[in-house]
Amino acid sequence: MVSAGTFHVVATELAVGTIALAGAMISLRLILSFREKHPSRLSELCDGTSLVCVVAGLCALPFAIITGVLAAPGDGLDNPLLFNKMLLSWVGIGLFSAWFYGRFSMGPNLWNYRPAAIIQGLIGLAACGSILTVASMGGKFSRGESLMGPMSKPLEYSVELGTTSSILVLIVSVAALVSVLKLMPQPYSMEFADNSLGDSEGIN
Amino acid sequence: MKSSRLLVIIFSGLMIVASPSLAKPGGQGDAERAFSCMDSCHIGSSGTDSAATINIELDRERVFTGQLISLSIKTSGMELSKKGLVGVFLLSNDGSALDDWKVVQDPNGGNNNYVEKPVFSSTQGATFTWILQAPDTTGNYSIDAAVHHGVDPNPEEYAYLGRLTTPLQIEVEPMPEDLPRFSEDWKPTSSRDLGDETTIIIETEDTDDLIVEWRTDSSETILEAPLTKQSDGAWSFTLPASSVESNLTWRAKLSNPALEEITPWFTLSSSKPDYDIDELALMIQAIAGGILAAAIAIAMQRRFARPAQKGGML
Repeated sequence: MVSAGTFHVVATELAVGTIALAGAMISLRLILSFREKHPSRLSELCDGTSLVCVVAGLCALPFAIITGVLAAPGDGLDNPLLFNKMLLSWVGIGLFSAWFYGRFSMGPNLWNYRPAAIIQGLIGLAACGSILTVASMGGKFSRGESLMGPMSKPLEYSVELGTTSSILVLIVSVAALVSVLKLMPQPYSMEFADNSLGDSEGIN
Repeated sequence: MKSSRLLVIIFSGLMIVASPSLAKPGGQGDAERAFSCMDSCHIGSSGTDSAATINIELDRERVFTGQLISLSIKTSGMELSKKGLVGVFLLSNDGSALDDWKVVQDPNGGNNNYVEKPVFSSTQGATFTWILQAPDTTGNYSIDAAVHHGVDPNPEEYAYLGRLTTPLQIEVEPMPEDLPRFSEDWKPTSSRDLGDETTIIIETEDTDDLIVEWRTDSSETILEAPLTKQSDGAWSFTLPASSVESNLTWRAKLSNPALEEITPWFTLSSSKPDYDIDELALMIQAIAGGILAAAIAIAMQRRFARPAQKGGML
């Protein structure tokens, strides 16, 4: 019988590996968007790879979370580090979902428009950062050390809301998401055209 | 475009076939374990010999069936990993977990034959003490011990394994009639929260008189706990609260006109209250955080990531 801990290792490494690669590709694509007038093949490759990696990471993350909860020693999540790991994992999922939504709705040419590229890049990097922080906290939990060093200290404390407050926050969050999706102007698929963007707005 | 797709497929394939690391230098955790490294934290049977010296000590010369005894494993001279974690097994002669002996209290307050504790000095070593209940049947029994640890640095990820040179032989004799003892189903309390007094109820058999002594781990002074008789053969006593994380040990002297029995020292650990959270509340809070993060990110996309010429800027 393979333990939940072993499955957690597999799911975590799959998730963290794909997401780390996604982070590298997003960073490179963002840098290229500042340097290139026309998207090169490398840019297309970065964009495609980051998209695939984000989708793979989003698929692996729920398994990593579930197996992580099952593999937690003792009586469930009895450590602030595990609590914060769970919170940051979901923040990462939320940010990656937004990144994917933006990339899917605006198309690959969003990288040719500087504000869109910056926002999309920052969202992707924030998502990667949160997931890599979660991974680092795993090292802190199991081995007592992490690459974050003293920066992991604040994550040893947690702010817990009760069930009622959590439900209220959930309702507010869903309302915020629905409001954003329904009330704010719809994104549209961006098409690359040098002249339409203008020198001041485009990546020229 | 074809090469881009090929690269994406190769990248994805490499990520999927990458073998996961199963190293667990943080230890395996206390458990009921046989002495096998197959399910352990390093590289299976390719472990190497430990430099540890291991001694085993029994707290009495004669052991009777069903009696509570204390067994200490003293180990020192071992290599130590950065974390200093050392795992100690208490085993049958064939390397399996103790089946005939019941673990009443292990060195960490549990009921396991394998425990892990950090050891801070290889020279000073550490003592791991188990309280066991002897088997119900008489006979000669053999108890073995083994240690399991890492080293710093450990580039080969070797598990260092050490075993007792000669297992301890114990002859379990029939219990004398009327030997004063705790009742069969009594279980010790091993831990409590800081600041809490602890009342322990002891149910005994063949016991007319009882004395309970206790001491802290920072003092050798032994104090006597006042007893309250609950019923025939049952007493209760209260151990004082502790304001710092520490161990308190206590033992009982049971007697009747014919015989006297002294139990091993039981350990009661005081620690900060466990971090406890409602997992449902945590899940809801986490999902809410994820949705809120997505909402903020999408709002930023819609607010800023639009060319001005197309209109719609808020």
